[in-house]
Amino acid sequence: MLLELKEIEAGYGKKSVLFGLSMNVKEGQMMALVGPNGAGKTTTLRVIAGQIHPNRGSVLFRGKDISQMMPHLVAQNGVSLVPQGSRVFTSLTVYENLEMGGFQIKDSNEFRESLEGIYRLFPVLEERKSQWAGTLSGGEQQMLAIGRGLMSRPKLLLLDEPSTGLAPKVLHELMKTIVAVKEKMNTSILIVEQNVNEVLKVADEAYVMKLGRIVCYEQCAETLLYDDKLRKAYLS
Amino acid sequence: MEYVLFILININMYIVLAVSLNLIMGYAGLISVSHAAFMGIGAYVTTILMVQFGWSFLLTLPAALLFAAVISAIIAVPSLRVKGDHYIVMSFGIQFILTSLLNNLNITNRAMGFAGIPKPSFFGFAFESNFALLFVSLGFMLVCVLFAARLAHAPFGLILKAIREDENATESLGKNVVFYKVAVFVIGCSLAALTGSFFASIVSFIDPFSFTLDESIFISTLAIIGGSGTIRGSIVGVPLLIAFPEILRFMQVPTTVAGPLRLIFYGLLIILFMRFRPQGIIKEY
Ligand SMILES: Nc1ncnc2c1ncn2[C@@H]1O[C@H](COP(=O)(O)OP(=O)(O)OP(=O)(O)O)[C@@H](O)[C@H]1O
Ligand SMILES: [Mg+2]
Repeated sequence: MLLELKEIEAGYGKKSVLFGLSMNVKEGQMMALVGPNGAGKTTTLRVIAGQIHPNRGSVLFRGKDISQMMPHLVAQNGVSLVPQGSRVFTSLTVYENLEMGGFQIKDSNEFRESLEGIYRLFPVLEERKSQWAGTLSGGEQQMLAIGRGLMSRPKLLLLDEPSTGLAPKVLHELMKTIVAVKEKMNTSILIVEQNVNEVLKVADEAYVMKLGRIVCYEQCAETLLYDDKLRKAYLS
Repeated sequence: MEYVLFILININMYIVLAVSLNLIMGYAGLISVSHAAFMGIGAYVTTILMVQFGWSFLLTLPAALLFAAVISAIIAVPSLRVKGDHYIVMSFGIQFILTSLLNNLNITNRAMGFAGIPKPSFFGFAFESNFALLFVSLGFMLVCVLFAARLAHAPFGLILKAIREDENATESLGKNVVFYKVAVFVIGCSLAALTGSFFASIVSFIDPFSFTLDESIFISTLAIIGGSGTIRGSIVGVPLLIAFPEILRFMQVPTTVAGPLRLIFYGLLIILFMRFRPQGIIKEY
């Protein structure tokens, strides 16, 4: 098991958001995490990334408990978070943004390979490499945020609503690219997505969460689309 | 002529102050209102070591640097560890404490300060004439600016800008945000202290009034109007801002009027810049 969350309780100050949440992500897998607004999906990703330390429970990454680790050390251990809204560093160029993602790579050949890999996934980033990131379109910024997160060649990529602000056609392309990342870069993915239809078609497995708890786990993500449980989670 | 030399020396000093504060404020986005206090620390360490203990100028520099580095680290580590803007309050605190100490301690000669501080000498070679002192200040400024520019263009500078924009994202890319914030604060304050050392020895006279909150705010003004987030901005902005009010003097405006006029001029300038060109003279991007 690549990632195991066990009985996580976490929140912001006195406010509890996650109530005994448990979930697993296997190596080489694309796991979807869906659920209504305010369910705690972003909070879950932030717990994994070390930005919030849980009050209870453990986060095992490759068998090691990282639940109380500082976020930069979690990142150095191979977990990369692409945050919701995918804000890139607007006062840096596209290339500098990618550089920020890849400083950990000491070997310059490895760095170049990483960079070329990103450019192959997102050719538009190479065309615009010396442009200020703030001047990219919303979709391009999204790609840059993902590329930046991939530069360090993480074992686990956490994506928080990468579809935000993307046109349906672009979104479809992006999902295909994310699948390509999983397959070509040997990166496991935990993806949070509001656009349930798109994500469940491409994900391997899926969790549905609501009010800080997992309410449903499905080994074949796509079957959830035809399942009442999903609708119920969103409606009631 | 002497007077022009004095202005030029002042410009060199203020360039280093603006550039070093720019690293802290413009690059890392940490608002600090204690830059003059750190300049004061350098000035007094150098002065006391030279005047009371007979040290040579050169030897006092590492002492001043170390002293300022330790004090800035003591402020920075606890206040920068928590997210949010606590360090602004901390920097206010250090500014007030320092002003008060300088005014009341025997070792700093209270409000009188020191006069007749020995001029800088390097390896027995003393710089006495004002012209020679201008070159000392110029050399110091160039070394500091080159150092700052290298820092700003190294990955270090990129990481500072990234921190300014989004701390969480920077952390999640594997950067120890607290370390970088503390580092830039200590480096910037140490440069201010070195400026104080040169200032004390070149001008030969210091008192607590040169290192007050007003002065700290003035340095921030220089950095902001020059252009925050650019080293070039501070270099271009400072000469303009320092030299311009001097025109009043040539217009034979009496000093009692010129003083307040100068402050009004800076105040107006800030307002106009914030309204029409918030990026400063040189835009970051
Ligand atoms: N920084 C914060 N401080 C306090 N409460 C917060 C904070 N961030 C989120 N919350 C609260 O935690 C709960 C879960 O928020 P979270 O962002 O994890 O939900 P989400 O599932 O990602 O929702 P969405 O789909 O809208 O992004 C919400 O009730 C929210 O108000
Ligand atoms: Mg969210």
